[in-house]
Amino acid sequence: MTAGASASQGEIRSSSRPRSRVIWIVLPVGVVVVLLVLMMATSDSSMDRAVDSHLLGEVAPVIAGRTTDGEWFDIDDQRGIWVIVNFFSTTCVPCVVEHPELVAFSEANAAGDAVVVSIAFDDSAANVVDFFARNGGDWPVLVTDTAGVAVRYGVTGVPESYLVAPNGAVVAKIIGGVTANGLQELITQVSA
Amino acid sequence: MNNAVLGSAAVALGMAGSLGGIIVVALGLSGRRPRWWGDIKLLVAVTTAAGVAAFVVMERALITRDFTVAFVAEHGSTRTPALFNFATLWSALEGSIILWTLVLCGYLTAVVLKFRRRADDPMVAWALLALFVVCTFFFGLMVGPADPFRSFDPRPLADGTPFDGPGPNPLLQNHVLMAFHPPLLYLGYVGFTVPFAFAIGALATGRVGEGWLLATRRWTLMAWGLLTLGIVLGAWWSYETLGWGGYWAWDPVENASLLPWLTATAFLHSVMVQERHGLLRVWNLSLVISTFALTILGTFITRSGVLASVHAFVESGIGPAILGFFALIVAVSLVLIAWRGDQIRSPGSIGSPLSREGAFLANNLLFALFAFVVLLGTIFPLIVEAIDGRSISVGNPYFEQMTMPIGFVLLFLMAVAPVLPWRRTSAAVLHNRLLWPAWIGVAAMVVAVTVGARGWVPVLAVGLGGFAGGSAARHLVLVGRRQGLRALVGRTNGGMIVHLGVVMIAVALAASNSYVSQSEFVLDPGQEAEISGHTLRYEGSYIIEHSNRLERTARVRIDGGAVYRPGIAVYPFAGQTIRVASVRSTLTDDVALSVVRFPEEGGDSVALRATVQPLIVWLWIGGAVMGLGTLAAVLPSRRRRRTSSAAGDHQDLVEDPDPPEDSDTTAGAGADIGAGTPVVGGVIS
Amino acid sequence: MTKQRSGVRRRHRSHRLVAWAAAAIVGVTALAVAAFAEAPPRTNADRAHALAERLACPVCQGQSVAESDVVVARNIRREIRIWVDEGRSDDYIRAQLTAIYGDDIDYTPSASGISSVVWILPVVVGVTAVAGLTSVFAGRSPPSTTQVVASSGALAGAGASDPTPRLRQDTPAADGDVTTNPWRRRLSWTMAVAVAVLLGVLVARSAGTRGEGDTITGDVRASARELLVDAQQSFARGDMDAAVGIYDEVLELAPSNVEALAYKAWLLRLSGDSSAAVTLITDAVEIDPDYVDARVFAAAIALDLGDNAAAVAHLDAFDRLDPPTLMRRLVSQQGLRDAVNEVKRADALGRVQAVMAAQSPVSFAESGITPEDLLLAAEALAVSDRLFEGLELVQRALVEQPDDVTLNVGYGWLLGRSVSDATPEPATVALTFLDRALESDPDHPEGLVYRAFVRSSLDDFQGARADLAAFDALAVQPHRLVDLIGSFELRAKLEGR
Repeated sequence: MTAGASASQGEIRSSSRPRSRVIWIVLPVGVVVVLLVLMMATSDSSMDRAVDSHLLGEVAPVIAGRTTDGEWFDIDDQRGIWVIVNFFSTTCVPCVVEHPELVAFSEANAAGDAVVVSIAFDDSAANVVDFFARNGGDWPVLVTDTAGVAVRYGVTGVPESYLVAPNGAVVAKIIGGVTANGLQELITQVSA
Repeated sequence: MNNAVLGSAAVALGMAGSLGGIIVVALGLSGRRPRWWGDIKLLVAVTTAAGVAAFVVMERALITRDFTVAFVAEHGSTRTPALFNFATLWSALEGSIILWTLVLCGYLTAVVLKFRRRADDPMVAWALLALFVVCTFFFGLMVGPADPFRSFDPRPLADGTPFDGPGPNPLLQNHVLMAFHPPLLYLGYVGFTVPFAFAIGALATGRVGEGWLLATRRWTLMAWGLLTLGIVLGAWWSYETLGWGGYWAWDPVENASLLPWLTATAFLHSVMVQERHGLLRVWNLSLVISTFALTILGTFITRSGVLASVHAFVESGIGPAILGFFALIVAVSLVLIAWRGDQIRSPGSIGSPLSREGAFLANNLLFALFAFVVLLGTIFPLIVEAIDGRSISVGNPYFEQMTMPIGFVLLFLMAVAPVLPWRRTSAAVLHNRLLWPAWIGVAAMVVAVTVGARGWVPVLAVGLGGFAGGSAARHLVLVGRRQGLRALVGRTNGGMIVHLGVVMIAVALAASNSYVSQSEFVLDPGQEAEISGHTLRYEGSYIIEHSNRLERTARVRIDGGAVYRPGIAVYPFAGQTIRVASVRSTLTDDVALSVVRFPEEGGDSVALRATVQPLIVWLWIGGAVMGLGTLAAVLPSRRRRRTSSAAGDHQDLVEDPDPPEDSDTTAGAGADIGAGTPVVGGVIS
Repeated sequence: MTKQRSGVRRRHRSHRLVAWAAAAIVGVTALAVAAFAEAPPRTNADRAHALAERLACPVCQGQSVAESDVVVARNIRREIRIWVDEGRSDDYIRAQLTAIYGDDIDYTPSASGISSVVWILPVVVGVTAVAGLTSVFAGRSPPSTTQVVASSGALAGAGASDPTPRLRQDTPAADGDVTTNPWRRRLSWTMAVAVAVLLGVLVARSAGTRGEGDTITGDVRASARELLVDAQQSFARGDMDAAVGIYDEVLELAPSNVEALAYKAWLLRLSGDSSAAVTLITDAVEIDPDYVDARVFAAAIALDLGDNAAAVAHLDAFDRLDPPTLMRRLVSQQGLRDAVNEVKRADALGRVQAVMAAQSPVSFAESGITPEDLLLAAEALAVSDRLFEGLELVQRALVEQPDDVTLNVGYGWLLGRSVSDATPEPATVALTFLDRALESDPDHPEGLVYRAFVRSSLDDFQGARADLAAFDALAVQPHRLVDLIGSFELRAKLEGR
């Protein structure tokens, strides 16, 4: 016990104001903290956030450039047919897994109702040419200057594919690997 | 001996010790155990021994690479160099709790030693109770959701090679600062437990006067200084290792460390008003409690993964436990404040806004507002998501724009407040004490503009910094003229040194934020690039294989001088690639280099990112000055030491509220007035 | 004594004033120079970096685009750099990226909707707190200047004698002064809060990002492309008026957009107004001669208007462009090729007959009749049931140019077509001509296909298959021939055997 403390206690006793004033500060603070705790207790972990595409129903962003075969590709020239825009990289395992499916899909649509275009995501031309030589597939592949395309499609990882309808609008986004049947079904489903 | 078993035993012992502590203190408080202090000493010794043992066992397991301990298997590796292997303990969740507990035990012991003669004071008993509850919580975490001593069966791999762990996150093992930043931060964080415990003690005993404040003043100051150093070292670490020129990103975890710092800073200032005039009692209690609650909230943010952050530990189950503890602290404190509400109201009020206490009030308002802005911005994405499900981000543009004006006003106050007399002031006083500092500020602005600074924000920061720095320097010079170098110790003088450090940091912040220049170059060996008047010459690259990583390093000569070596390191065992930055620091500007990539095919070219920022070094120098200032403030000033030795031992709990130091300023000011303005001198006489 | 003192005080006061005014003038001048003098130019790299710092990397945990090293962040940095170099505004770039990756990559909370609270609330709290403190201090009667000086002096004196002076409750009337006027007090509080909210909204407005409703200007191409998709959708639904409206809109944005020009022309033609369509389609073809859709539409419109030559030219150009399946289908649906062929044939026949009817007979080659013309003329005769006249005509030409591949192939094909089950003989003759042609040019596409037909009619399926295989191996397969094979289902027939 000190002189200061006892002095202040003396003063406290003389103070006649009820505790109500402190309550009016404590209560709202309490309510805010309770809400805060509830909010934090119920919020999901930031790690499982869903991604969805801004592009659905919108016109497909421009894809134009030299393919690995040296030919000119422009997605606007593909009006009238379905286009699978496939973003991939040679080092990504799911991309290697989905590749035969894309080959099957491309062969099934050799008549020209649908076409696949692959766009390399942060990869070198040599790797990509080698990848296609090993794994098959003879559709157009763009390697150089693909960063802009990837950004305009909002690609966040590979593999990622977009289905572009004959009228030039994006109708579906597929995150992860695709299957030939899945793509075919998707086309039937969308065109129905 | 089996480390897992030993460690678990230590944790169990610590849990038992702290639970026992709660019981014994409770019995002692209820009066049923009059000789409880002896038991407490024993229990504190046991608990502390258990905390130390847990730490030592874990370090032993790490150093001997004992992979039968799951923590070592998950985060250790035979490849990690010794220093980082030692630091592995705090590179992951469970180990960080061990460190936290160790520091907490240290503070517990220190409190018992310091207050060993005040055993009969109920306030000390209540404080010990609070400390033991916190101890119990952290030992409880280690018993339950964050058990660091889970065992593991390290089977050899299929090809017969013995088991080896992945090692700590590569980012955490590429700079020496990593060994110092977390322990300092924890020393600061955990240090606030002591003032919190005494605040609880004060509320519980109803002795809400100035006693508890004085009892914990030095503790708070020390914790604050350590937290400051921890934060500055953290910024330095990220600047040196990340290599993009950034040191503070307003990341949730960084904000979490800033929040208690802000409230503690507010407390350090407002405490002087209460000591002097017995004012702001509820406010000070709230600040101390908020500071501690915010450290716990920060721990929650760091370890629950609720907010996206680079620093976040891997998601774990301890989030709910920490959140629950946070809720408990706040609830208990609020109930206590409401209960003692009638007694806490301060006997008096502040008379004039133009006085030292008025300035402190403004200072507290601003720090509280600062903390509010940071807290709101940090958790706002959660609020929006809870209300309408959208996800938004609140990042540096928000924090910069909202805190910059607050920072400016704080700088201004920092110049004016130290020269303001208590209670009232006059134009003559202000004129005498502030004219020179003001001219220093103006001169700083003129110099800044002459050397080419543009834009009003950084130049105003320089001006206000000069003003505040001049004010602090004036104080130190005046006191130094009378007392020599001894003038540099003591609370007020130390405080002024801290202010000088703050000014350095503020100016460096403004300059480095406003004049950053960054570019990416692709260079062939022998090629040169220019950035902000610096010449970078790429001399080629080489590859070195270290025990834990494969590093490809570029050699870049800056301005024809020394060669700097940024690179890319691949940690095959952790499956991670990180960039190794290289920074050339001078007093005027820094050139930070990092390698974007080495192109895969063809030649020895490199894609290099260079960032040039002025005055960066002053951030670290300023941090060091703040640390030194805190040290000076903790040391008793010469005259005070004399009084305390004369006053004897019973002064232990309630130290003298430092009248000599405070009157240093008053006396200095008085001398000023006497010398400069005969009129006022005449009035005095 | 007192007089003298007050004189000294005045002098000091003016000295003080001068000193502070000088400091203020120099300081404000320095600030003004800093604010308004020409700053060293901000490079595009600096601007791109500042932008990247203000955006969150979409796949990282709490890192900005500027900091992160992941591919996505690198791509975005590159794209920002390109936009900056193109001279786009910061707002444009930010709007583009948030449209792509979502609003939550923008570190700057929006000034509209619930996000604005984060801007407004701190301002409200700050202003209210200041107002509260002001009201507390203002509630006390402010001491006069002399009192301040005096009491400060007194304080200094007291401070020296008493190290811990306690502040007295010096103005007990303070609270009462305010509380006696509850309505005024409430009013001023409401005012303070209102002002605070207003200030907060202003801060949010000036600092927050633009809202969703704000338009993005500067990218005509993107918006035109979007409109075109809408138009196509209306077109596909059969809502022609809507489609025309949208094409008009596109043309307002981009007057030389070939797609809009061509499709609007097509819609006009469908509604029967070919003469209005022709100017549009002519423009379209002129702007982009390689736009296949325009060529088809142009051919159809030209036919409608009887401009056969133009129709022929457009369709020829169309064939040269290696057109996509959809357009080829449209051409056959519209019977364009038949119509154009008819025109071509009639034209050729007329010219050939003119030569033949001439007084002094000259060779076809001399009179500018190409083998193609001859074949077309023969074809014209054949379709009007005058096959033998046609054969005669080609025979006569073959006398002139016995080794011309085209003529040999054409003759073989005319003969081969006359084959029926009743009279199989000409087939063998046809085969000799085709063989001769292919001997000199083994890669003649028509030759190969026709011989496949003839061989299959002679039951030489092996040979027919070989011919088709050779045709498939060619670098280019003319669509006409592919369609021909398809329409007679030749492959299926051969597969069956």
